[in-house]
Amino acid sequence: MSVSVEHQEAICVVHLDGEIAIPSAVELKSVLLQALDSGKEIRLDLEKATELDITALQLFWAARRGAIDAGSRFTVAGDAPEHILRGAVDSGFETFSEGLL
Amino acid sequence: VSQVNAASPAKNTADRFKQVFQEEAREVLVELESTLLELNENQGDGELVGKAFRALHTIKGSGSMFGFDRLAAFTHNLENAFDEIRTGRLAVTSKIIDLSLSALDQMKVMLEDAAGEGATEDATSSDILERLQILTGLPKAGPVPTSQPALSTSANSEGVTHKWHIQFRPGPDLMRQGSDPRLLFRDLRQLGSLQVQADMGAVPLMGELDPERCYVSWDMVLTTSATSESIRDVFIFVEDCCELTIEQIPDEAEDTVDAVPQELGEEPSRFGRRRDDREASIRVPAAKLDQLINLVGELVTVQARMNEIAANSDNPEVAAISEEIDRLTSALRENSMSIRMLPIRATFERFRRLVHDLARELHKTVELTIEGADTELDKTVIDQLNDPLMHLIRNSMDHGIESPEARLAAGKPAVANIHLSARHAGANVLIRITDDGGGIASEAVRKRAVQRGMISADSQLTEAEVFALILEPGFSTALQVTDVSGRGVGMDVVRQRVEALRGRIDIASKTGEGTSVTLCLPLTMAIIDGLLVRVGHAYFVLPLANTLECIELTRQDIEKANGKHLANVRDEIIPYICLREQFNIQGERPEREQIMVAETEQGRYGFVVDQVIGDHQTVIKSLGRFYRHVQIISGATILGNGSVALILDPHRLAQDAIRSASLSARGHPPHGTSRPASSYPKDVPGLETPTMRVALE
Repeated sequence: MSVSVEHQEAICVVHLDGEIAIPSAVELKSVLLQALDSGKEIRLDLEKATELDITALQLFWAARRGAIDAGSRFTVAGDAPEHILRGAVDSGFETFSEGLL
Repeated sequence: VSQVNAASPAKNTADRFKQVFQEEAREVLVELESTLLELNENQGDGELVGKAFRALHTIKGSGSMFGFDRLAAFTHNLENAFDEIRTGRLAVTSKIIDLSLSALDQMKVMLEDAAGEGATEDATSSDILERLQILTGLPKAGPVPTSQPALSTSANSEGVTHKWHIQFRPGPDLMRQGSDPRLLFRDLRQLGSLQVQADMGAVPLMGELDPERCYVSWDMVLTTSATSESIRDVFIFVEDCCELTIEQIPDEAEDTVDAVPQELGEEPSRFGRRRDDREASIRVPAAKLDQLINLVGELVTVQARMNEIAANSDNPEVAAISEEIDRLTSALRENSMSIRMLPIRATFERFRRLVHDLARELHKTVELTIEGADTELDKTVIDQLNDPLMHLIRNSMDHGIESPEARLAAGKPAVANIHLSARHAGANVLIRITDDGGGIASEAVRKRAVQRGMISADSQLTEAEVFALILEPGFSTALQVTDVSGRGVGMDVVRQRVEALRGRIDIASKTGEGTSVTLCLPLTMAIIDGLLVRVGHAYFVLPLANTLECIELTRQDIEKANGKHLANVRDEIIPYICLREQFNIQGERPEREQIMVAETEQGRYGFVVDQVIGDHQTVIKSLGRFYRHVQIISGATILGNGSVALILDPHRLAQDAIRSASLSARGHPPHGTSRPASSYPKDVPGLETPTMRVALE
């Protein structure tokens, strides 16, 4: 997994590329915590993601809840690859394809 | 690119899982062995074939997942063979079973090898696989992929589709182990149409979240013609670390997860254990249990001191607290003892293989039947029972059971029987090995004993006494020393082991009909409920499980019986043993004595004491080496005042009394054998003093 974080005016865009799975779960948690700390709306960019496992999905879910609790938003950008969205839906995260988690 | 490596806690977890896999694989292999031996008897039993296949599948799959690659690849070949049998393309034969048993032995070696405890012989593995190839005609299987392969499914007999509600709650370490639920969903989709819904209710707040842990659980509805067993097979590698329920949805029910009935059925798990039982249990190292029992033992001893102080105290609060602690200690003791109780099944089942292999070797046909395998006894006792039982079975197979030809000539069925049974009898467990072989020729035993100088030629011994000679050191009637038994040391060792467990052995035999050896063992070796009694200044404990009642013995009663040691209890004549005479305790007999009536194997017997003090939680301590041969005493215990009380063995006392009476009636002093049962010191040092000097271990 490689990560880059882009701070726009009111939005913090987290670009996640490659395999987002258990070996990088600790790093992903720290990235998402920093993004939450920024207090901005968080947008996930998964355009270059090749894989997304359950540890990543549960981290996104917790981050989204953290954002909502802080009065902010957490969304998935609409340009995520089809197989990533499909994989999440097949794993029971039905609303993921709508960017809602 | 920033790559995060798996953290070391994850590695530790993986090691832990490896260890758990090894422990469980050992259990699976034991069950597999029984299944194979059962299958040998019932070669057409499809259920047993399925059971063996699933065991092999588990070992292969989990082995591969936890890095036991060689074991997994080896097992894969055997699994393929059983898959062929399962689908009817191959028939079960004794040759296949024998080879499978050899393969199973090799799997055990490989499992220990991977744990760094053995050395796998590659040549042995290759030889087994080659023979398997020849027998089955199957090609050698390749390496096992670590991901979860879809199992070949079997549709239900009607081929009708049903809806199944599947609840899958993974354990927290599912992902750390390398399992991925997405692969399970993929495999389920191969069975039919699947609706999946993730439940995120257990996911904590971001700050508290362990990123490698699995918090998600799933509810699914699967529409398929596959059987419940095929669905369960998808979860076969993760079943031990998850909660799984699979329930058929009645056809009229709605097609939603919410409509699934809440009350879930009790599916038997892969090896017949009930799911609930397993989920509610944890594995604990045996050493921790031993430590717990030791601590409870210490607590019981301290509690006895507390009771003593409370009894002498005027403070009613101290007495009340002492009573309460006594109650709690007693409950704690019973609870912790029950934790160590295990069914004897595993030990018994192990002998199926022994009987199978020995029958081959000796060219005999023997069937092993087992009864009472669920009888529970203390783990320590079970652990030390394996060798004596093994030797007794070997003896039966080698010396007892005749060749099929000889059996037929004697009008017996060609297939011999060895019956292994266990049952509770009071505070003891009786384990009996019965065979329908030729029996023991008591005359031959007698002759041999005379030859060896163990008895004099004119000794008059009962049949039981003659059989007991077999247990003496160096006794063997075998004409030839064989590989199986007959080295002449075995039975002596059996006796030593059983006596070390505070047990005893009885042998019964009828020429031409068979032999029965009974091991009478205490349920536990740690703490028992006893009744504390006093004779003069000496204290004794009688096991409470044996004692029935307490009656008074007056001078008049003794006179009425003309000095005979017989008491009339509600018109029943009960013989009694006067402990004062038995142990040569000095001092005046009290006007009124007490007879403790106990149930012994020799019938009801009374034990005359000065005073019955009361219940006593008795922590058993072994006597020192000097007293080891004193059979009428089964140990000692420390009392609250620091003094020692001997624990009496009522059976032995009664047996000894009968023996002495019978020998003196025949005009012989009780020294017929090299080790008369009454060879205990009459003057036990220290008995006259309140604090005994008996050496305890």
